[in-house]
Amino acid sequence: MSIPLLLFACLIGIIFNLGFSAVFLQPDWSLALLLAALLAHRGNWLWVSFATGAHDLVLHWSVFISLPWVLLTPIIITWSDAQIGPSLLQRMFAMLMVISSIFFAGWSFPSCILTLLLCLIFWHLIARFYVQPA
Amino acid sequence: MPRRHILWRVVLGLLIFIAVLALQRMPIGQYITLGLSPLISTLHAPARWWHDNELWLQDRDKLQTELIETQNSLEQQTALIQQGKSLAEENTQLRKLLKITNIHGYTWRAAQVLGRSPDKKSRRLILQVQSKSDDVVVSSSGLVGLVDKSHAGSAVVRTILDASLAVPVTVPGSPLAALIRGQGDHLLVDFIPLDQTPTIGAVLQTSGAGGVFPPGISVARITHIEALQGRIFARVEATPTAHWQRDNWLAIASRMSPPADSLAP
Repeated sequence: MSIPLLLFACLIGIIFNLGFSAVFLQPDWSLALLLAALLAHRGNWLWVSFATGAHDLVLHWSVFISLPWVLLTPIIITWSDAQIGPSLLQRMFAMLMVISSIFFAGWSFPSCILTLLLCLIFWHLIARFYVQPA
Repeated sequence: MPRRHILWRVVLGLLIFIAVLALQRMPIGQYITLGLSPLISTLHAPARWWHDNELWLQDRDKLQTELIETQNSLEQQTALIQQGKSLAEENTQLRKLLKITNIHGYTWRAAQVLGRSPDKKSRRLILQVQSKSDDVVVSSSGLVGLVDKSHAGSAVVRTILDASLAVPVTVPGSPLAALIRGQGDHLLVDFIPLDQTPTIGAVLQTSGAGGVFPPGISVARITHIEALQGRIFARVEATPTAHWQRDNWLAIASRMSPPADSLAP
């Protein structure tokens, strides 16, 4: 998986959000992509955190929207993996937690649902890059 | 894990925390948004091309009729502008004679909306216009906000729904002096005494106090009034009269620098 390509896609997503938010209903493209990259491989946390910070600054002029939850996500996943074993449950919980942050920042409910669905698709696609042959 | 590694991680975490706090204090988001405005404009280009090329598909007779109508309208407007200029000159001369400074003191321009923040709370805007900080942004139906930062023909606008903005308002024809503050999805009107509460549906206008906003612009319509026990001011909620989510063009009022002779004692 190419990180610069993913970051470029995030930038395009942010521009779409800024340029066409009044024209049609859209998900938070960049957050869906970044969150999917984080859920697919928690080792991505560092660059995902920086990119989420930039996302928050551009769209909300504040870093306290999604960034704190994105920073918490790898901690929660690592801790819960050790406690109950690796599973989708804690990842789903983390995904809901991060996406709910944009709902409380004023995004409409349909946009949040679209972000959630888009994140699931991206997660499935990005996770294939980290699959190790048996 | 060695103690040195733990210490190093704690220091790194603290540094990241300090950096995040510093980023929060600085207007980085506004500058990044301004930097992105050429890209947003590029993304709008296909829509503009489509709009321009639509002319090729329209009926020639219809276009000619529209052209004649526009020419007539232009002639009428030119005559009006001439009349306006002569009146303005007369007004300036009269003001000089009477030693009155220009109380309006604002120049008005149109600005195209380039982008909007996707959230439903602050509804910030990106405009394609040459402006400066604290220029007032207005739609056809009321006050929108203030220019926060501007650079190279783009400006980011902080709207009245933003909690950081306070607008001095009044009800026309009354001595009321209140303050409107943004609360995300609605507005809160402060300092309305219980005995002076306007009716629900009343429109509040800028009072001009503070000198940032020109007086007489509609700001908000009152939606809820509640008398709180033990307080001298009522809790008043309002909604903005302006709906800028769909407007493609807005007006910008820039404060003119006062003429040199008015500054002289």
